[in-house]
Amino acid sequence: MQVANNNLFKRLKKRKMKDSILNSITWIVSSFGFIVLITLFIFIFAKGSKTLSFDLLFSNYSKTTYSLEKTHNSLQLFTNPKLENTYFSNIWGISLQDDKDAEGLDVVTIAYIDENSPFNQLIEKNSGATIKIKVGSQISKIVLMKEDGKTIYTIAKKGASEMVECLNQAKIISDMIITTGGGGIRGSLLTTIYLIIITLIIAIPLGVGGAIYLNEYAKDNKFTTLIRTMIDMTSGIPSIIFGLVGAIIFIPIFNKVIHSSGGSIISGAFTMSIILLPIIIKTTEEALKAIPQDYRNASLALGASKIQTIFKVILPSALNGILTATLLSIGRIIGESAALIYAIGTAIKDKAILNEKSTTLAVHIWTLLEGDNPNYEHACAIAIVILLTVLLLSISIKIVSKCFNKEKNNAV
Amino acid sequence: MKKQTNQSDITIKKSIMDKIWRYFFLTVTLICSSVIIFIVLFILIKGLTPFIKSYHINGAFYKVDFIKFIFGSRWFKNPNIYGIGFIIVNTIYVTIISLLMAIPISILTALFIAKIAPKKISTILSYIIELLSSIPSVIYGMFGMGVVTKIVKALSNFFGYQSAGGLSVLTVAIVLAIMIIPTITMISVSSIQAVKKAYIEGSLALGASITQTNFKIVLSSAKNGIFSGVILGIGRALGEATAVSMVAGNPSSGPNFHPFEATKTLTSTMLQGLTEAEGLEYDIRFSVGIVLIMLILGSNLLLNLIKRRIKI
Amino acid sequence: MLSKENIQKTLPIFEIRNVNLNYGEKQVLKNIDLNIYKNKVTAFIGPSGCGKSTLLRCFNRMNDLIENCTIEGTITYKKEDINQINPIDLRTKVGMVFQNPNPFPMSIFDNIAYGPRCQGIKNKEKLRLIVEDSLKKAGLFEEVKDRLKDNALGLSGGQQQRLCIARCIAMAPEVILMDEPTSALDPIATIKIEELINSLKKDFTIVIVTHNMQQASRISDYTAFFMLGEIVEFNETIHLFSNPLNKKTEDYITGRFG
Repeated sequence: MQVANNNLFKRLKKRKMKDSILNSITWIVSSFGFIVLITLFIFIFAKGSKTLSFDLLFSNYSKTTYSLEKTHNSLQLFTNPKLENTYFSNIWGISLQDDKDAEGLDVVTIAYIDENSPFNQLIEKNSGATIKIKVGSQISKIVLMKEDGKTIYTIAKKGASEMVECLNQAKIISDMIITTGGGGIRGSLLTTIYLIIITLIIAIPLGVGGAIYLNEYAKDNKFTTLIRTMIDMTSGIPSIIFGLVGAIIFIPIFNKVIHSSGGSIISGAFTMSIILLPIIIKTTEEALKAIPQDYRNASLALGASKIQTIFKVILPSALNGILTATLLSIGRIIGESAALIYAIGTAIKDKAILNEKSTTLAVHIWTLLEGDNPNYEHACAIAIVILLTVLLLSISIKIVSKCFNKEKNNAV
Repeated sequence: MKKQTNQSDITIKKSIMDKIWRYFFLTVTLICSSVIIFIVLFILIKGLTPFIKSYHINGAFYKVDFIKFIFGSRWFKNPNIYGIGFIIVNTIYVTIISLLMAIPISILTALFIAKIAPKKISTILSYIIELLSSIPSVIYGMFGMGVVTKIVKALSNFFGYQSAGGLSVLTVAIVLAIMIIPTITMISVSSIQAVKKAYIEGSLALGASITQTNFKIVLSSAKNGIFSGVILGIGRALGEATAVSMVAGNPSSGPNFHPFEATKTLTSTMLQGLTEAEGLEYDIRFSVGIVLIMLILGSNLLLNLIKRRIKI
Repeated sequence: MLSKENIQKTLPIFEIRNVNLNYGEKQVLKNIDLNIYKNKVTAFIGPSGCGKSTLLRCFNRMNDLIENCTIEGTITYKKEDINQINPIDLRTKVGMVFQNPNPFPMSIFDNIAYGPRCQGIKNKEKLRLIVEDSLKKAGLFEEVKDRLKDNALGLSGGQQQRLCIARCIAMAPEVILMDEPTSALDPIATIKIEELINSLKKDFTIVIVTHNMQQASRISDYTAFFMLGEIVEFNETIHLFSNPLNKKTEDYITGRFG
């Protein structure tokens, strides 16, 4: 008896220990998801938040080079903000620093511009227009005229320190070549928006139409099962394959039709549409299934035709589902990269033209990081934009489905 | 009979409209469902071209030999040696390693969310997993390049191996694991929540502890649903292109088994150097696409067969 | 109510004093005062929804799993307050068989070995003996001895319920609680289970909730008649059915309502 009791006691203690170990492992492992998310967010925000600005969002990707001049009349001397590693010109009120561009060559960039500095109103030589230069622009060459009429000049290769010395000797700039930062994502932003609109125009009617047929018209026979299987199989295919398909079907077609060469936003829209069809059909069908048969019966009993019932009774009730499908689609379009690399291309543009190659935000990130000089700062900035949008969409979907459930409960 | 002839014009118009609309919706549905046919057809056509057509490159004619393609272990642009054998092995290998990491984490996380965590933590963690599943793959690729490669590089230095700046089998596997954990977890949570209360009560009434009940009864009752989640995760891992291509490294020969060695998968091959590819080098990616589709369909079929076996 | 000789022979294994139970606002059990006697079969009868199953679930603290369930009063198991006993330990001594047979989705052998394995028993020979012994006691061994590795869900309803009883017996409990064990079974399976209960009586204390008065009168030694959460009458079965002291009891037994 004693032995049996001792044995029992040992076994129970062993079980308690085993249980606590299992439980602790479960707690620790479950924090993995949380840790990944936090690390991801920290990484992206750390690298990207400095670069993120309205400038980035709305300016051109390609750089613009200006040939500028300026005569500085005021006697005001500016105060040095004393930024690290910069050289300050107290006459012109700007700080310059040495830097390297994307190809690794030495450049001189503007690190600081005082708000009263004449550099805020430089004049373009050809047009006479006033150009506002921003921090980060590169100065390649300056030619100045001294009070005694002599000209002095300096170029970027000589370094920022010498450039500032030059600037401090004269008050008239007769020629200055400045290149703006570029790197803006306006082109990609516009491309993404156009892509979303056109894709939705194509995909939503097709998908909703398919869902209506499957739920309202189709009978339970082999033909319907076949159709459903085929649509299901489409959803199991990875998106890069759709990219391939887009490249061989849509690009050649639209090359002829809209005179594009290679990828275009239109071909990308058609490619995205076929990716989205299964999702739209499934989500809409769920919404249609949730509509009680009584609604349909009531409408038909009042003498309405089937199609009138569909348009006037069923579709309005299914709007929540269609809205959810739309939101899901937008999320998918924003996030899609592999398919669009094939179907639209990777040329980053400043304007979004429908029959030209361009990039969406996601593809832009890929392009920035491909190759030998990955630009994490810009890429993370774009990633912040994408993440915030995804977050917004995710919350919207939750709100829409909550509204949907409320209506359902009220109806019941 | 008399009734029909007395039908008003409106009713006749309505029936005609109904018919027209019915055929309209049918057409739309047929378009949707025929997509898969077009996909298979066109990729087959373009993908088989390298084996049939002769390409004129640099003054010579090339045609890819099918057997050398399937069993080859090297992939060079110049001089047009394309062997996909080692790439297939790499793809399966990397997927298996990522599964070894992802499955335990997903199952435990799902159990935690569904059964063990207090309600508030459960809701928050559940939402975190949902968020993770909607993050685009290019951002995971960037995370892999920026963070995971550094970790792997440090690890490889610790073990004394030289790695290609962190681009390696291990990095790809980790990134893939991170991407498929949300998928498997979400489906597993539903399966665990669906376990019959009667089983849980029966287990507790026999004097089992809650933890014993969770691990012995709940998990084994939910194993069908969990396995479905795993199958979905495998499909996603095999097909993932962007993130993988950013952290793989793409060596020209293989297969590459060492965890700190760079690797080349089917999808990374399809994306590598795409922007400058043309002619044979462009078309061969479609052949890779065919192999990818077959791999995914094949593994799906195989796994579903296994799933039916373990059900009863 | 109890004859003097009987009081000497019978020992209460459960003593329930002044128990009141509430689900949230609703009071389900009122002023329950009861003894459960060792090695006897006690039946709880009464119309549906009057708290019989709820009281049963108090004995092995299964009500702990329900939120909003508050219990006042004392229930003692062998003179110890059950709230002071570790619920897992309590359940190893007080087993339960449910209304709908719920064998686990695993083999017959694993089902029965489940309880002992959770207690840490790993020795294969020991487990085999326990399984064989429990199946024999439950009267199921002959029918399944050749297919112990088969999935338990393949058994008929009656066999599944006997399996659940065997599973319970494998824990060597002192008390077996049965919540309407035959209401989901056909008449033949029901009779088999009733015979089983009769044979189990000598080793175990049994408390059975049943809708079926005839069943109670056939198999139980003591019967408690419940109505609207209260015990209307509690007595030896013979006395309760032949000479009910309370009019309500009489009405129920004679079928005037039910």
